[in-house]
Amino acid sequence: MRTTQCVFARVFARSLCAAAALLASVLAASCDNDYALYQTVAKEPKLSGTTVFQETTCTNVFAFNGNYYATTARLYSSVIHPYSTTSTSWSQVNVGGMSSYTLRSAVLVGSTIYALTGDNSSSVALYSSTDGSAWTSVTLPSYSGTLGSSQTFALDALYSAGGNLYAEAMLYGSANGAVGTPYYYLYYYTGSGWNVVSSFSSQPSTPIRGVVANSDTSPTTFWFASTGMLYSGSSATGSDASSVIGNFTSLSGKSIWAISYTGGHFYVSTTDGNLYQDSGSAEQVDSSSRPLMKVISVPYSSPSSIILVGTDTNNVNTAACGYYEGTFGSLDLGSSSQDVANSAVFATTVSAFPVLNFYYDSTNKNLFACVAPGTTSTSYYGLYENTWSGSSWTGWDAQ
Amino acid sequence: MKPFGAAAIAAALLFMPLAALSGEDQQPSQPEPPAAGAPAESPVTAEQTNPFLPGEQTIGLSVGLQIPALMYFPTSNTYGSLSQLDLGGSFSFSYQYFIDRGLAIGGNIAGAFNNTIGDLSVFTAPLGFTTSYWWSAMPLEFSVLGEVGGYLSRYNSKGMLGPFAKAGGGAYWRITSGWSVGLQAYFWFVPELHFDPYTDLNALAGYVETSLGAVYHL
Repeated sequence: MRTTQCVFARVFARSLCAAAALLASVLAASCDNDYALYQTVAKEPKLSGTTVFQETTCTNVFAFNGNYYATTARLYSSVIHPYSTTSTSWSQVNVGGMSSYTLRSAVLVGSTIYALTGDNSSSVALYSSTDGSAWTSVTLPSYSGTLGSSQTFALDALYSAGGNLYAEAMLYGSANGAVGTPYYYLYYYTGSGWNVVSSFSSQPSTPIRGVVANSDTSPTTFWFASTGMLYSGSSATGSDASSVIGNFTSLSGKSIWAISYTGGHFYVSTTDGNLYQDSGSAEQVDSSSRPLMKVISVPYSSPSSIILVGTDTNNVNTAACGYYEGTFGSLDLGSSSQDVANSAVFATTVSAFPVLNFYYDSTNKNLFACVAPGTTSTSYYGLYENTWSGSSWTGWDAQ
Repeated sequence: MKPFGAAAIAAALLFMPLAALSGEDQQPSQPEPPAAGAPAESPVTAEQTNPFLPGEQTIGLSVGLQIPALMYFPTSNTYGSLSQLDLGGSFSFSYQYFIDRGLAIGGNIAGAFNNTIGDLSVFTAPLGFTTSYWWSAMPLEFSVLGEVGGYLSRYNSKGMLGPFAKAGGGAYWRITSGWSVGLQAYFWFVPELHFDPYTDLNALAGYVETSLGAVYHL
């Protein structure tokens, strides 16, 4: 018995020493002397999201007529409000008078909301509204050729650029009934009908990645992008557009994921984690080659503005990781101690999820992050808000 | 200090005197006088009847609840709301060696977590050296314990280390010759100390551990 006790004592003492050494090494590597742990705990806000965005992906937000509008599988509205740690009320908008529908896309063009609905290609419908409550049906573009018996042709996305409405249509299936290559058409809405944007030299077989302009009211430059094509011109119809993909170092051959215009610059985001600015320069933003989303410029203390760019997942070997922030050429991964997310709860808000879109309301200083939160926890939401106080950001809070 | 925290600490500290009284009740307060004509006997003291002898060893395991009890910021002389932290859980593993009758020294490693109001989590893992005193009122056993050491905390992907102290005790039922099981209550003192120029970030945190413990007597 005594021998057993001695052996155990030695084993325990050695284990304790090993644990102490391990703990000491971990401690030395993990102590953040400049981080106030319990002061941060004491300041944490309670996430106050509504069930509207709980485990629900949000794709777009815009402000119109005294309300914010957010798109999920439905369109929701809320009276314009700042960041709040108390629950915020969002109400479903009955597009076209329907209480049950599937929203494909919704955008604000000037003073008109356009909403595209439909469960499948045969039920697609487009509505417009100038007040958010009364909706008018809008005629859809029709395919110029003859559809085969197994072919479908339908709008699946809307874009707003330069005060104009654009729509992507997908032609799917081959004329003889076999599964064929899909083709994508970009349409321009004239106010009474639709014209195909003529910028693309060949019909894209990859999705449209966006249309952007350098102004909503008096645009002088438009950019049109599909996954592998990038065109620029001064006409909203794309009639004078030419390919500018060669203006960027090593952009040719890459997959474009998003284009954007913000802070006086055009940006091109690619699926391999690169960001290109219209100056022609590029930055490898994400070393793990996560796709980058649209870029947005937001106010900051010093410098006076920074840009944010969300990340998506490449569905192969990396998960999305929130967003990057900073100035072009030196973007860093957002975190609780970084520029915009002045909040302890960053880790349970937009971190580690795909941040699909940002919207900044410059009038009311409110920033929204549209997130794909997954379905792993009811604590995760699809829409978060942050407010600029004039000197700092309040921190993300769930909507 | 917030009422809830004070109550929890008070409960932990009150626990031991009551247990001590219970144990002492089993001992005569005064030795019986020898019968007339009988040879005089030495008085039997509590120390001499203590069954925990030098050289004996114990190992202990516990799981329990971790109750936030203190969040104080000395720079601003303010208290943080304890409702910012949820009720959490804890576990520990300990070893003790008796160096004198009833008196043991040893080591303890533990871990505890508390979720926060914003769905984050504070994890604290202390490692320390213990001194304890044990006594018995069979089949009950009692102990009071003090511990000093260090801790590692993780929160929001940040790490913190610092000194650690723990005090409290337990009451156990000797269910077999080798095993005792019982209830324990300890106050964890977790100071968050920063070096210059960040001393304004200092904080004093505390928790009350209430746990179910099992002690194996080697």
